[in-house]
Amino acid sequence: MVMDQLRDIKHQFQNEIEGSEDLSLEAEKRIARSFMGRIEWEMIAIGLTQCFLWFGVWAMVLAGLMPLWLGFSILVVTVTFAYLPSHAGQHGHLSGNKKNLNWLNFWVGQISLIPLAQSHEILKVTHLKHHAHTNDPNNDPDHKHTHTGSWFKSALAVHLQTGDRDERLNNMLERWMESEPKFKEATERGGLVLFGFYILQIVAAINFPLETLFLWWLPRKIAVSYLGVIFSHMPHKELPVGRHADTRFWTNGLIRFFNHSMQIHAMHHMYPKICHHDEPKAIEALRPFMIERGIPGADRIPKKIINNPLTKLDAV
Amino acid sequence: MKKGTIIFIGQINLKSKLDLNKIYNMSKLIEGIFNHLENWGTFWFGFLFWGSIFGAILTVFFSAFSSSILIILGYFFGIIFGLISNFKKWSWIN
Repeated sequence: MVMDQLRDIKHQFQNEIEGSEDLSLEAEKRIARSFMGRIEWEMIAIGLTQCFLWFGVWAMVLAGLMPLWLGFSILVVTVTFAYLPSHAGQHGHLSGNKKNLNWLNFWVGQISLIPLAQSHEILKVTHLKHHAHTNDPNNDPDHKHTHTGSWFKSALAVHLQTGDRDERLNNMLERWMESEPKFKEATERGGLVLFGFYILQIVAAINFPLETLFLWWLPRKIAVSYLGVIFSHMPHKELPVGRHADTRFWTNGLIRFFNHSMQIHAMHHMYPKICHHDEPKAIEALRPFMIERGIPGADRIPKKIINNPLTKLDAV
Repeated sequence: MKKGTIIFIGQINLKSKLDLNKIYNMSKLIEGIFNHLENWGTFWFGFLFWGSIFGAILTVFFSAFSSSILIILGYFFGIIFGLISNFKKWSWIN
């Protein structure tokens, strides 16, 4: 009884503090800026380590030191870590405020993407369009695999983005290539990288067919499905366009690690310059602003995010 | 750059006279390959990539048969799979 009263008083006190806070956009930006600018060394380590593991598993399987099924099982997990370092590079997190280290963004990003056989530059230009036009059916490159009826449909749809299958995406790309020279240049450079991966995969399959299937093609397809569901579908599905309305806080009962912290993807869309690994403490600081702006699920996000597995959100 | 321009790399004069016609022809060839792959890339991937994999899978399951025949059979399936994929625009096979 006494404990309940104390808890009520504490909540009332906290609400009063939050209520008296300056919730202006200027105050929000001032706090957000304090979390920007550092070199995200964790992503450099993750990107290079998972790529090293990928080559290591290949070498061990080819040398007969590891069975193929074990190599496949390891790579299905590690390849899911291939995208986020490139994503960090796309937003310049790998060089932080150090302009002389800009090369890290491309090189670590591209090396990290080898297991996914993707081009860092193409992913960068399309991802930045996703940020600029999140949930807009005519301008968001991720729209088709995000806004599906179920996570399973999303897991399949993400593989149909390339080629001529997605006419809307092709129209977007053609439009931007015609109107934005930098977009065109980046796409053409990225196209050469994709061509390289195309040839490499064929050469690998001719020489090591089953290994290429189980150590490269299948793990990357599974990883891309996972990325489509966890990075796009869950945070954005059924949400409208709008800076504070296009991304939600969510949970699926799994701990944050298994979702690559995408439960708090709303923080990334609010301030993409904040490093992935700094988002929990940034949310703790910006929580009142997020609630004030009406970000979906912000009113249910716990006050403590650091080390919180976020297997559930608070009841409304 | 005129025909026969001397290339300088740093301070080193390579004195290698480029035949720009050859470069032009090479770039035309590369452009032609890219244009071809734009329409037929899925087919070649199905034929070579999946054909190799089909052959390897057949070799695992039918080890009693001649491996060269099974590998050729694998590439035959790869051609069919590549053609269907190209026709149906199954870009996911890549």
